[in-house]
Amino acid sequence: MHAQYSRSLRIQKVHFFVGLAISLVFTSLIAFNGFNFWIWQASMVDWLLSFAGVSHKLFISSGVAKGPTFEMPINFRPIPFTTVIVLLFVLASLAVIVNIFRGIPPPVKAVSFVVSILAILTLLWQTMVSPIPAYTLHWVTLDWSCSGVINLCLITLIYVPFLFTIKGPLWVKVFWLFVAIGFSIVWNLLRMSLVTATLYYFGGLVFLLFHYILGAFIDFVYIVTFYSLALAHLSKSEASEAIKFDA
Amino acid sequence: MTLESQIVSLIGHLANFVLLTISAIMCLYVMRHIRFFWNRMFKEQRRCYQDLAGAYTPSVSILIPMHKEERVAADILERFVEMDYPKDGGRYEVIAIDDGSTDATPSIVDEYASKFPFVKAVHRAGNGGNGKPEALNVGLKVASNEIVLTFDADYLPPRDCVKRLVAPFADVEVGGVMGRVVPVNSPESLVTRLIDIERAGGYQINQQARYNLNLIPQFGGTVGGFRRSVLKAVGEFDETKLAEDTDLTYKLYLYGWKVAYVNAAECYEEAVLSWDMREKQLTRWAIGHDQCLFEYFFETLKSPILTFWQKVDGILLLGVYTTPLLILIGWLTGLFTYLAGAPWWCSVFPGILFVFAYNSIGNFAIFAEAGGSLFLDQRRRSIWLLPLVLVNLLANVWVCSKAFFQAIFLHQRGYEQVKPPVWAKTQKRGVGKDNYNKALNSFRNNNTHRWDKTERSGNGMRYYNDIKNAETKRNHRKRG
Amino acid sequence: MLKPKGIIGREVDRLAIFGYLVVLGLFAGMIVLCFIWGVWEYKKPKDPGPLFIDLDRTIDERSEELARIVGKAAASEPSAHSRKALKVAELNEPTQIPNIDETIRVRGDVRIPKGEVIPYNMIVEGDLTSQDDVTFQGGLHIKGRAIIGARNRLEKSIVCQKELVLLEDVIVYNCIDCEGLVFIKKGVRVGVGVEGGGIASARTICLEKAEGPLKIYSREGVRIVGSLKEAIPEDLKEIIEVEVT
Repeated sequence: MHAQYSRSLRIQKVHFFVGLAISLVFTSLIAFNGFNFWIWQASMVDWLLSFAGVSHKLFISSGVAKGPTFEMPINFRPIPFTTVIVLLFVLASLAVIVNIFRGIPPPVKAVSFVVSILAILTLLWQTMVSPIPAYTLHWVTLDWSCSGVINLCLITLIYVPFLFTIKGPLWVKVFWLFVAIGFSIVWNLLRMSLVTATLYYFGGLVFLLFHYILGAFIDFVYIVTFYSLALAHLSKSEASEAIKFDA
Repeated sequence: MTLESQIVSLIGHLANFVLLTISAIMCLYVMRHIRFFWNRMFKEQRRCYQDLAGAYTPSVSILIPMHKEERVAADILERFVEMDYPKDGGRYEVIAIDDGSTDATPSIVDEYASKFPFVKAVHRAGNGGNGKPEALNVGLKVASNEIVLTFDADYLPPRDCVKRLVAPFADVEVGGVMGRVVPVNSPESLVTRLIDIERAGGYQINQQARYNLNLIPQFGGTVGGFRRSVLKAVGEFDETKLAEDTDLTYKLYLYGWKVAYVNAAECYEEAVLSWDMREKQLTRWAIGHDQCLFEYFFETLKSPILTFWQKVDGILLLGVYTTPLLILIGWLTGLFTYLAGAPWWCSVFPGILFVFAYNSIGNFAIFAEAGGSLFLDQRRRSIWLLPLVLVNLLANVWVCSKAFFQAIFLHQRGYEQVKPPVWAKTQKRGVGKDNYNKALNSFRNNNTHRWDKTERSGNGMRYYNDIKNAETKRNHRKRG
Repeated sequence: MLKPKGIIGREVDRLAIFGYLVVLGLFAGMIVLCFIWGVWEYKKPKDPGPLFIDLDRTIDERSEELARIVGKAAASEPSAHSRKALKVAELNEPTQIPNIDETIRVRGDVRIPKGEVIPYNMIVEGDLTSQDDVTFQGGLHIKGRAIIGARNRLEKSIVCQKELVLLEDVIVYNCIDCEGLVFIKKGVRVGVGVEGGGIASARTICLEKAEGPLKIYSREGVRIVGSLKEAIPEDLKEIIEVEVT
């Protein structure tokens, strides 16, 4: 009898060490080929920006710390003060109304409230603290913190202890790990292109919000998705095998 | 540097400091959940006296507080009538406490009391009832046995549940016991499915690991029990607390008793159906938990009885309903780091920033816990729902953040003193407690009602019969 | 010099904005892809739950299991244990945390002299040794080893986290639960109280002779021996000889 309340699993040590080895190799590859990876990323983003109709120039910096930079012509004008006041009022009202109205589910309230407050703070920052003067050129640099490199290391770091240790075929684990890594690379390319193109088309305020929200908030969602798919796949394999019963 | 830029710089430094502190706290929770995941998934599980279940059958009283439970009252009473437990000589009694119900609940309860000698009916008059803790305290006066188990009216326990729950009381150190809660109506809505996943992670992994590691598993107020003498010693159910179960847990541990978590004592419950009900329920839990945080934080730290790791777990458990607020603050202060750039000293803590860089919504360990529990339960397709747990997380951020400030408000009212007239001697008029109770009742009436009323659909047995039929077919297919 | 282009205050190239929308759509599609599996399971559930709990299940009787365990354990040896000599400190005044009602907690080892009656529940954060004819009216929880002298009466249960030795004719009204090895001499009776009881151990149980029906559960096995002398380790034998008899 395999009672769900008392069973535990035998840790898959071999798979764990295989996963660890993959993780170390991958991290080393990124560490030693970081710059090449950046250049490749930048060239892909370059292509996507061209597709999106963004006029730009790509500068590959020789210094690793700076990273590839896109120069874009932007005829930026600061938002008029009255517009700022109106926007602040609208956003604040939205935050309050969302709180009061009972019919709105809490998750929607949370997102609306947070986005409103972030928008208010960004608007205030742009208007009062660091107003961006009118200019004709702007630069966007793909540095290490927003290039998606961290996520690539993180995926292997997470999947090894939480997935490779669980009983199931090794190929399933390796397959989903590489699917997640591949997804992450494509995701980051699209994200960086989209955010940069948003700056070109919509200006600094929307760019800052977009970049922060897409970068800080949503980035880890796909890690959970592929983890869950991998775990479900393992569960299917495990259901047909005998497991250690620990009563 | 102008004054304006100096102020901005100061705010920036403060925001970064707050951000790093929050990240450090979240890291503690990450490590905690990772530890629990590993322990439950791969280590030997504590036996929890289940080898003695059935052999040891002490006298037990079962309290079932009810307020307008006509849809479910008969189901639960039927379950306890059929319970596999010796019923002779007063060793088994079921006390159904009808707290001011205005529907058919009183007649259902009376019907069972008239048919079965071990079922007792307690009726409380009152407009709208006075809440679960008060109902339980009344039930305790009627109960005649030392071991007391409590169940909510919408629960459906299996026939071996009571035997499994009472077995740990063979150990004199055990003051309380808690079983596993499983939502029976999980197919009903998105909310119920998400709660099903949350419960799975919370009990199968979290509670069990805390019990294995000799930390602080929580008494949940239902599918659980305690010793009457112990409850009397620590001061009965605190009617001013919205989470009397958490309150009792900490009292037990601070007085030297333990809570045993019995994963084998599974019991069905009806989860809330809609986001509105979920918000009310979560608000009550969060405020109640925060009340315990204010009361027991320093006591836990200073306790001469708790071990070091129990203190660590105890503090983290107390703060668990504040983590959504920390996440919210982290999102907002993170914006400063993003806009102004991180100051030079942030690079001293790259690991924390590294974690925060992806960790801003919560920590992955929670998802791993939920996934691990579903894996152990062999709920393969339910694992696909893990990304949707994000929706639940967002709801928690909203509700628990609001609840924290409401808890502070309640806490402040509890200490309000009335200033005496200048010509009178300084004298407490003793109205602080009255003001607190007014605020508490006002909150209860306006928000959660006096009873944390989650509307029962009464569909529990229907869902059970569906899953039972499905399970029977599956077994036939396996054999065939 | 690049020609300024963009949405703000200028003409828009429709083809260009189409490209932007495609990139936006692709990214949005990836976000949707992350959630689509969950939505698919929610909309067309294959496993909506609930987790199956057989509401009619009861706890099996253990008597069949006892025979099986005895048969299995006939060839097995008790698990290895420490041979380090255990010194039981005799305390004049056991250190106490303030006791609540009938339960006292004692830090350190406890030695109960012959014939004593202990009216409390006791939690001993050390070892417990009791001489002959002691009566424990409350329950016992011993964090260390426990050696219960001959003809002791335990009117509730005993829970022990290390080795447990019950000498001749001990009566335990309710349960024995032990994380370590259990050694039971002849004439011991367990579970005679109204509430019933049994013996459970995470390790091996060595029985010299037991009277009456016993509910025994052991993870490692049950050994029935002619005399416990052959089974009890030397260090425990020393303690029994010195402290108990």
